[in-house]
Amino acid sequence: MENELENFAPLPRVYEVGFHISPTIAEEDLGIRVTAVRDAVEAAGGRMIADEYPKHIDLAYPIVKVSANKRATHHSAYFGWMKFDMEPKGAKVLDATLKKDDYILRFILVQTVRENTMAPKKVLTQKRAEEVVRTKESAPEKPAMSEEELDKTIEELVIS
Amino acid sequence: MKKEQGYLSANNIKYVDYKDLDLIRMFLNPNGQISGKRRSNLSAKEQRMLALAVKRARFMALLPYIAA
Repeated sequence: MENELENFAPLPRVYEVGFHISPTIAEEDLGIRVTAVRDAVEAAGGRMIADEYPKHIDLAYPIVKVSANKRATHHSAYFGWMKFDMEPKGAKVLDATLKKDDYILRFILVQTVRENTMAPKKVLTQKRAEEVVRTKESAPEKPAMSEEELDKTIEELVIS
Repeated sequence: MKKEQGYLSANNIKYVDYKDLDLIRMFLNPNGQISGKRRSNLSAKEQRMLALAVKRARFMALLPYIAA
């Protein structure tokens, strides 16, 4: 029984790491930082499933990062993510490695699923298009008054 | 009275991703607060999934904790 427990190896799970790379880095050097993250994932036994190259975004609130004993406030960052499968032990190693990286402002390591988790954009745009059509349809119903009627109502309003 | 179907189940969306800001913003009020179950019409499971996604997005500064 004990042997069984010792030999028990949990199945690889699908993880995703999202990270903010410091905006002080030049866009040309961004590739080096991304490869550093990818190397960290692969060194921890990760097998890539999907990823997105970091894009420059404005942050919703300023992030403070202490590096080389100096506090720096950042209002923007390069945000990218990677999805991979890995054994739970590897995830712990990866977490420790990314924490040490001075160029990463902040990162999040979460368990996810192999499938694409982003809602299809069609659904959202369709809904919005429907709403626009609805509002357009409902709008012309109101000014169904003739000019005379309008004048009358205005007069009534003025009198009252 | 039968409860109205939520947006997620109506569109067959199984997961709410913290990066999917267009989807998440549909369930936030202008102050950035998560709308309640009555307003969002989501099931308890979906509402928990949404709350988790919003909290992750806030941590990653993709969404504000408090919108001015």
